[in-house]
Amino acid sequence: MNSFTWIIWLITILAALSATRNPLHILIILLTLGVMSRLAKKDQKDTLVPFSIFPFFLILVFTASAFNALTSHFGSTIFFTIPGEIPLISGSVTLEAVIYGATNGFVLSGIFFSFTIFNQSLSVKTIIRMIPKAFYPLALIISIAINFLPAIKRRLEEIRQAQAIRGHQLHHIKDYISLFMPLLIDSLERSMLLAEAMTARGFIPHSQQQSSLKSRLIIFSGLLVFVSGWLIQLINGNNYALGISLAGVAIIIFWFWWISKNIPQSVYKREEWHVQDWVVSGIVLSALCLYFVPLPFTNLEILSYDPYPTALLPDFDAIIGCASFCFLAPAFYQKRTSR
Amino acid sequence: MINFQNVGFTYPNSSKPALRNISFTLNRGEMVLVTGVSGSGKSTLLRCINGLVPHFSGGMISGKIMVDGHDPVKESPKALCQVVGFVFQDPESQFVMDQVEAEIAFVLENFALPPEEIQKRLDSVLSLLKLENFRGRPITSLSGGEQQRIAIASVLTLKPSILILDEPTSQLDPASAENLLQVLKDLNKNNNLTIILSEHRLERVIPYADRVIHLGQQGFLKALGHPRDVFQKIGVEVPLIEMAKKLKWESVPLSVEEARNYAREYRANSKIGIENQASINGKNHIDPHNDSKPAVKTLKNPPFIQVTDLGFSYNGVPALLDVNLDIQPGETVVLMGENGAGKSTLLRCIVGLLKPQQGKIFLNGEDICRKSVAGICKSIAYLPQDPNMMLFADHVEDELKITLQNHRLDNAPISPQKLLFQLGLAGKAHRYPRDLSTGERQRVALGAVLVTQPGAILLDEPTRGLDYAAKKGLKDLLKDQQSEGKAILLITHDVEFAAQIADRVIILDTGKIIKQGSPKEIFSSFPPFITQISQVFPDSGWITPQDIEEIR
Amino acid sequence: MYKTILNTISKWALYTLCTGLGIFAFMQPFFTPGIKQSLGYSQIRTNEMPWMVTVALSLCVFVIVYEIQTQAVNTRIIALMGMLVAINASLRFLEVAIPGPGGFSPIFFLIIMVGYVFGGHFGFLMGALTLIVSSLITGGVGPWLPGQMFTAGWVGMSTPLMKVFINGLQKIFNKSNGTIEVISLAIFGAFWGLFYGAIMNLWAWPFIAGPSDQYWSPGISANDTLARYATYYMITSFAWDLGRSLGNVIFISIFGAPVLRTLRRFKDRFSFTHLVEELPFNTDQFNLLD
Repeated sequence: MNSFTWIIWLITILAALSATRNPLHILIILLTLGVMSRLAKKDQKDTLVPFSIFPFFLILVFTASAFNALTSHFGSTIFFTIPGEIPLISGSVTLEAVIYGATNGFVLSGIFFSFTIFNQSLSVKTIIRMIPKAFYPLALIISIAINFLPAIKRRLEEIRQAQAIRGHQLHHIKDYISLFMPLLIDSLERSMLLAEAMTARGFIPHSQQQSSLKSRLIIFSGLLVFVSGWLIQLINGNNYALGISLAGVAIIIFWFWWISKNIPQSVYKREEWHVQDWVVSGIVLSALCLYFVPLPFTNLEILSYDPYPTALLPDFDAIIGCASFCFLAPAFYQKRTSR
Repeated sequence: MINFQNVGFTYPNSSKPALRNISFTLNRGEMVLVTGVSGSGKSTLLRCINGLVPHFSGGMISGKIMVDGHDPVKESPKALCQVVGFVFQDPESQFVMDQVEAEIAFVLENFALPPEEIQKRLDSVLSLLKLENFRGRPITSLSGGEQQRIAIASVLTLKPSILILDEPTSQLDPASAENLLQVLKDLNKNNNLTIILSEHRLERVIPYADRVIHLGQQGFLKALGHPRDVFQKIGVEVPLIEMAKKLKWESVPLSVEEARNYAREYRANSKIGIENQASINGKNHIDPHNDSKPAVKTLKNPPFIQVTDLGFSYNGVPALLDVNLDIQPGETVVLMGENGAGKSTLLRCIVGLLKPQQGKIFLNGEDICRKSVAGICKSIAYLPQDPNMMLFADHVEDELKITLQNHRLDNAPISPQKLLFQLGLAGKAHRYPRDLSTGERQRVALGAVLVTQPGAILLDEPTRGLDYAAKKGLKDLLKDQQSEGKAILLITHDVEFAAQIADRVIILDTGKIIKQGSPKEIFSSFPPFITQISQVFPDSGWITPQDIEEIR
Repeated sequence: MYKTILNTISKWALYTLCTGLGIFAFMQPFFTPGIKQSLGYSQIRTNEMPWMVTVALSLCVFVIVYEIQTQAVNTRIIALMGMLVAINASLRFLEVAIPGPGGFSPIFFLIIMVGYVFGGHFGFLMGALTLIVSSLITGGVGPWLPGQMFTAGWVGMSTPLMKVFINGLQKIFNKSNGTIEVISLAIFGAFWGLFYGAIMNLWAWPFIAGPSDQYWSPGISANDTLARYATYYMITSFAWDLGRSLGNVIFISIFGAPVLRTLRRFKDRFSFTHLVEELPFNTDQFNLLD
């Protein structure tokens, strides 16, 4: 499946998470994500912190609820009161605050898990290949960095042994200089060899219209449009002003795309956009629409839920709830193609 | 096709020119070898052809260069890419991508070729170099020789008419080097590709070269012509050539087969046959039953290094099995064997970097199993394959001092100045170590481990990347250390070098010692370790040029 | 001449706008709630503010990085940065491997060194790219990434400012040895250790605290919000950031001098000129080639 489809999926699910504060609906999205993480193909990476999803979710929700309960003292259903004059913490601990905090936790978990699934479904190489040609030197730097990471680990071990045989032992942090300096020097020297090899093969980056005045003007205007849209939305409260911001972003994206087209470089293996990409994108985007577009059979009001001043059981719209399961679409397609 | 006219070049920040007044012409389809001592400007010359000098290096260039109709000084290296492909010495530091296919395609992407064309060229170059099986493999999983072939493939996709290689085999073992040179020979003959390469180990390349460019010290062109003519004039330490000079042959043989032919011819009409009948009969009597007993020297002292029943496995995979070994002080033992036989593993066990699962190792009578690496290395000097990993100080002298500090030796067993003098580095005490040549850096590293005056020296492949002069220097250095009573154990693939310094030879195969003997036994009758001279004169008992008595 | 002035002005205008936008994005929590409440706009439904902030920061990072890239048009810089980023990204693994105090992070020290020796542009690249490469490798790409890239980039980009300060100090004390440099950079590192944390916390605040009416009540001013933020900061991440600060100070003090020496040695290899001497004889003679 094309990587852009994954990006579309990510954006839609993040948008859905941001579109509501109804805990039940958010929980459904989380459920969807949970199912998805079981179904979706995993691409092996060494994760910084290996964890399993469910305990992490619980911890996050608990922390968020506790945090909010301790810092926000509105609401009418009071559990107990923290006495004293401690800034921020003293005051009543209420059910409403807990619910509000829990909702925060749900949203945060949702964001976190969406990104996790996204990361696991796309390999690093794919992500790098998505970098537009306008950023070609940067993509090259990132590519070189990623390629040399395992070599650096190996060399560090060689250096450790080479220093050990001249009596070096690691007692203080100062001893690490003997490990780090050879690594740095050796890597820098190798980078010069690499630069020479790159030059000999014609990897000279293109320096054409990148820094032209026209380019800067266009980017500048794009940014200004973005900022103005945002300011208007803040000042006027008109959500549609965000569309102006979107236009600003579009200008910049378009300009980068335009530059990329004019760089004389070809792409050997381009990802293809198949029927299934249309289908999956279509499904998730339609599901998203249900969150924003008022339709006769859905009730958008229930998406906005406020536990304050008194907590009541949130309402639930079955259709929007079921629509959330549409977000599983990419996983289903992956399962099909992997057979 | 390639024409140099009075070319001179000086690097930036350098007072002496690297090349002076070089003029020559090379024709299409030739295989050209560029030789010269370290520092004579070989690399510089090669880089002039594709424009890396002066575009990448900076500096001042004079004279005129024409390469297949292009002027590399006026045009950029990118323009020259399609005429000249360049392959470098270190395979690992040439690649930008992680996968073979991606790397080769990337070169073409950079020239904006359409995907179909890229596909076509990719397929053709992979089949040309017989690399189809490596298509999707990550480059880091390949051996050095395979990586060099990938490098050649990636530059050949641009269909250049000239291929330049700067010491392409110096990091490779002999088998891979031979493979690579065979590939180059095929490209040269079958595809009429002009190939220019520089190489230290001349004996590998001489049989294939059409022409030789020999540069002298300070960048002059000393000789140019067919290898036979050049090496007739120039002295060079290739065993066959030294042998021919000593035997006063009229013409210089370039390969073992040629030498055998000449030997037959000359034997008929010279004194060699008669003189050496005596020496053949009298000298060494090779006893076929004697191959596993340790040989010649029986010194009175107890062994400095004693290894008994050693066994070591990496994650359950056995690497060493039942290894028994003694090394006396003042003895030089050479350890040889194929890649993966366990030689480096054995050395690392002795020095304490690896803890063996079975067996014991004694240093000067003491069991080392409880000692730390630092403790062991006070009495043993170990020179790893890549000594650069050790060096990071600002001055040569400081490298020695750092070792002393590590061992907390306030009174140095030998003064750093004296040691530097012994190593031939007296004038370089304040130089930045990494600015020195490969041979000098190796000696700095040796200094760093010898400063504790250990009783033994272990060396892992010390001849890689060294030219003949540096190898001779190393040989002399080791002989000096040996005469001071140090035990020396060294690993090498270089049969010629081993023949010159070994007192005893041990051959390892898949972790076991399969043969032990004197140099004369091994290097004259145990393939694949037979020296060139021994191949030419199988029953003479000669294994090195030094063995040959000069004909008066 | 006219063109270069225009170029410089446009370049700086772009940098200023980007940085300004970035700062504005981070400072959201301080003034937007006030604006919104005064309009009676209810915040209870949507959570879009953090996303606007993230989009804004991504834009800023993209644009700044694009501008800087125009400086990196030779293979040496690309290879050098690639290698340095690789080293820094692998250092980041130490962050988890060594249970240092709190936010102890080895990456900032190299970012500061590179910024100091090679200039603000490459300092920015060093910061931004280290973060993205280590995130890619560990599968930790998340909405926090643009904020991290922007801020880490600014750590590197602001380091050359220290040069003026250090030069001044060296003149006052009349010494040009490395100690003044290392000490000043260590203090700089300490400052950024805290400041980085404060900024990232600021970014995280709206996420954690939810829509603004949690940390904001009707009628309070920006000052009060600042006070609330300060408290929130103290509770959550001050200790953590202190760990980062301390880490920076330790790394810079110990490794600073040798690393500076090495980087400077390499910097010399970047400036060179190549000249072609005039031929002493008539070029017509060279037409007989081949």
